[in-house]
Amino acid sequence: MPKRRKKSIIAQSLSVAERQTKRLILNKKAVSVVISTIVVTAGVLAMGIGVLYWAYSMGDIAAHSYSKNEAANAKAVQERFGFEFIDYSNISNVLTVNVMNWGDSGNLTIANVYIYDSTHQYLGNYSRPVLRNITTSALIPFGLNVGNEGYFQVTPNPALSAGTFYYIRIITGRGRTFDGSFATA
Amino acid sequence: MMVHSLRLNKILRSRKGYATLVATIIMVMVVMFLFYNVYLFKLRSDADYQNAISRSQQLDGDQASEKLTVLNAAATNGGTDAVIISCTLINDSHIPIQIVRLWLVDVTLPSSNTANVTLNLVLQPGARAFRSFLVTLPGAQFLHSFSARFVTSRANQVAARIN
Repeated sequence: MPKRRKKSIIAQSLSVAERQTKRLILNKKAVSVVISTIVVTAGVLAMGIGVLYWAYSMGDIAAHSYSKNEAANAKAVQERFGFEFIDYSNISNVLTVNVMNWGDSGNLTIANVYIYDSTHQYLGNYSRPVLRNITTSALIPFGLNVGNEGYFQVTPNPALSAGTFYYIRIITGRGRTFDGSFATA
Repeated sequence: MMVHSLRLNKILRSRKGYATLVATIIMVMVVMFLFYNVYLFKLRSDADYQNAISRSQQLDGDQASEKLTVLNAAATNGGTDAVIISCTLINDSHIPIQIVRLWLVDVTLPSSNTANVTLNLVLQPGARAFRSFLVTLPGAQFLHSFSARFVTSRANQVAARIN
């Protein structure tokens, strides 16, 4: 008799558990909370990944720009311009400046040439003079390479006086300044 | 004493503020990681720039060290419109010197009196060499007065007066 009673208790508790499980499954309470949590999590993740990529690309651009500037500065630091021979013709009013790239940076270009008198008074400036080979007079289109020589000509306005001392300043394409001097015949 | 121990127990058992602490630690780690990367990048870039500066200082030092002497410069007949410039070149510095060009000005001629020749003459430290160079210059005669300038590969110049 007690064995039979025990069986009925087990069956009873099983049916209770079954009922509770069924109720839990059928219960729709808090479903919206779960969905909203999933949606919010997905949104946050998506935004996080977006921000991460944006920050990465911005950082990459900044790093690239910084490296480029540093390399340009390093090249400018290693630029060396030497004045070989400066000749002025009183007859044709042409100043011929022979120069040499004796630095470590190639493609040395001239952005501007300034001429000053003996008291450093500004006389004129000449933009982007054409560089030519000293021996062949061939055009040097991309600037002087390391160890190369070249010349350029400018027509000073006003014309330079005979037997006078002058200063010349060259600004390179990378922004370096090189000063020289000459005297007219 | 009893109150103190109770309070301490309460604090130790309390779980409040754990999330903030963990989040702060993670944030600090992320910031340190980012800073470390930026710092390394900057350090590398600065090292490259410092190398460039060192090389440029070496260039200037070498240029200042060059000492070239021209002795006994003389002009002899080189034919029509040409003269032969002879001289003794001495490298008085501790670095090799490369002479890349000779500029010759015939002072006697009124204008268009300049000519140049490309050279490739290397003088070892302490070396002494007697050399002759043929220069073509229309109207030039060896009895004229000349101004000769030797240009080195480091853009230094040494001038010599002839006659």
